[in-house]
Parts: sequence; structure tokens; C-alpha cells
Amino acid sequence: MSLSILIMTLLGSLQSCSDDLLDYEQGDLKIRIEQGDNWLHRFDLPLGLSKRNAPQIAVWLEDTVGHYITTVYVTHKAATQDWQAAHGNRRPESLPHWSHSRGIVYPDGLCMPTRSQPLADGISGATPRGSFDLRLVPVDALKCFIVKVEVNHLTDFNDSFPKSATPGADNYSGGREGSGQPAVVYAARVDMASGQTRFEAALVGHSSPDGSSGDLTSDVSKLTSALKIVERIMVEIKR
Amino acid sequence: MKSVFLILLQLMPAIAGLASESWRVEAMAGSGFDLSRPSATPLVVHAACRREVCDRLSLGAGAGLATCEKPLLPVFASLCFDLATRHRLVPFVMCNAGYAAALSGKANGGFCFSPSVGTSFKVCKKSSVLLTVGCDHLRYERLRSYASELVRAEFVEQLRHNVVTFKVGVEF
Repeated sequence: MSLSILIMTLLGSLQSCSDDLLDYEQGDLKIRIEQGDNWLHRFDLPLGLSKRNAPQIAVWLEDTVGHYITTVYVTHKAATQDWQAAHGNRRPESLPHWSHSRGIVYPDGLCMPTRSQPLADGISGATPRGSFDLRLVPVDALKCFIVKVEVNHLTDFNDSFPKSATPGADNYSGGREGSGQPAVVYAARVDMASGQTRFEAALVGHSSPDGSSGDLTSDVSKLTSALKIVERIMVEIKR
Repeated sequence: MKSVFLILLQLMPAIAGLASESWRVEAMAGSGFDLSRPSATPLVVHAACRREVCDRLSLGAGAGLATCEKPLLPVFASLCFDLATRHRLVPFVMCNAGYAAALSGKANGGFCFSPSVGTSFKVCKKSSVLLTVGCDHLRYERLRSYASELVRAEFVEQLRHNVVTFKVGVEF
């Protein structure tokens, strides 16, 4: 009995050691990505097993005319090509708008980072299992810019982007282990001098289904569950 | 570090109390391979005291050190059930569950849980060698940062390691 009380006391005191690791100061930006209903997506494994996968995400900045400035955050698997059971597939369709915007072409002709040359500009981290925040401190010269977020699920097939689509077709997304519905892109124009403190990102379109280009398609009428990965993306200036 | 010393102070009366009763003390060390991404190869060392509550079941607590991306101090409750009565070779199932505190700054600890199966091999009257294989589940979070000429960014990375571990140890 006394041992149980001791253990409970210990666990309680250890839990209270947790700190809020993100410490905002005045003028900092908080980018909040809120999970939608399809944040975790079923991924089938052999022997009838399955797991719930979190999406691949890239967050980066562009100037007001659409020129890439810098990457802020990319999920670990995409940033380091640390895919599980990918059988050599580099998954160019996972985050094509971001990877083409960076403008770095790797020796195999693809724009996704490789294992030997992982992402060096920006944070890469374990894929969040739910809503998460990024703290951003831009230099003073960066007054007006666009925050872009690209989000994608593996094997998120629907009727318009089926598993059976053949290479070369408009809706081909990498085959059986491919993306299914293409990555969706959100953008928020942030003006630090406007006096406004909250900027909500709007859905601006979807990326190339097979990842062969960085183009955006504004018509998202063929997407279903891909539109429910993210509930809302908000950029807030801390005052 | 202050909290770590407080925890160790709290543990001392419990160990002293157990010493006067029927108890078992073990020390184990091991490593394994991580099934999760990003992966880390952990090194795990722990010590535990367990009181025998009946012929085959013992309950207790322990603490140790685990290194993944950051050093952690797991403090856990421990349960061990012998699958056979006391012979020279005794297979057992063991389960440790508790909290792993982060020892370095810019990190928060989290839940730890490690079920395992193993066997003890009596080498003399009061001591045995232990071998176990198990799965360590370890959750914690750390701050990741990136700085360039244009921007500084921070993100709290929530890590969930699922590690198949092999441990060897001694029991007195």
C-alpha cells in the first residue's frame, strides 16, 4: 500500500516537471495547424493489419509575388526519405509544390531530398499526431510574405484518384502505394505592418497528383477526404 | 536536476523499507532496435526492487537511465510473474510502467511502458543472471530549432519510440 502511494507521488511530481517548450515573445509569429477529421488516415499493412498514419506536411515562406524564401518545417519522412516499406519509391507525389518551389534537383532528377542529402534548411521532425504549433521569428526586413502549407496522405484514394490509375494518366498518383488524392496547399498572406494580428490560411489548390511538376490546380472539386486533413491554419502575431 | 535529486531522495525510504522484507533486487542493461520513425538506438540501464507478494508474483519500483535523442530518467512500477516455481532456470514475464523524466533542458519527459519475457538462471544461492526480450514504448517531447539569415523557427517534436530491446542483468 505504502509502495503504491509512493509510486503515485513520484509520477505526480515527475509529470509536474513538464514545461511549455515554446516561449513566445512580442512580435513572434505563431503558426497553428489544427487537425481535421482525416488527420490520421488508415494505412493497410500485410496480414490484415493496419495503422493510422499522420499526414506529410511542409511549411515554407514565399515573397508576395510567389518566390520561394525559406523552408520552415517538413515532416521527418519527407525531409530524410525515411519511408517505411516504400520499396525504393521516393514519393515525389507527397509534397510536390514545396519540393519544386525549393528549386533543388537531386541526381535522380527528383526534387525531394534524399537520404544522403536530407533537408538542411528548416526543421524536420516526427510527424505530429494532432494539431501543433510552430514559432516563427522573421527578421525585421521581412514585413510582408506568404506562409504556405502543403499537406498530403499516403494511399488516400477516392473515385477520382483511384489505386488503379495507370502511369501517364491525369489522375495517376504513384500506384498502389501512391498518394491517392494529391497534396493540398494552403496560403496566408502575412503583413506585419498592417496592424492585423491574425491571418487565416485559405485553400489555394492541389498539387500535381504524380509529383511531376510543382504546378497548382485551383479546382479541388474532385477531392474528398483530402480536404478534411486540416481543419484550419492560423497565423497569429503575438502582441 | 533538482527534481532528479528529489526523486532519488523519495526512493530511499521505500528501498530501505523493502530491505527488511522478502525482496528481490535487479540491475539490467540493454539495447535494441527502434521500429518507429525517426528512429534512435537506445541504451537502457535500470535497477529495480520488488517485494514477493506470493510464490510467483513480485511487485516493486525502479529507476534507470535511457538514452535516445536525449537522456531520460525512467521511474517506474515493476511487476514480475514467474512462469514456474523456483528452479535453476525460471522463465518469467515482467512489466514496467511509469514516467521517463527528461534530464536535459528543452525537453519534456513522458510515459514509458516496457513489457518483456525472459528467464533467470541461478548461478549461486542468492543470485541469478537475467535475460529478457521485450518492447519499450517511450514517449517524450523535445524542442527543435532552426535559424537562418531570414528566420528563426521552433517546433515541439513529440517522439514515440517503440523499441525491441534485449537486456541482460543480475538479480539478488
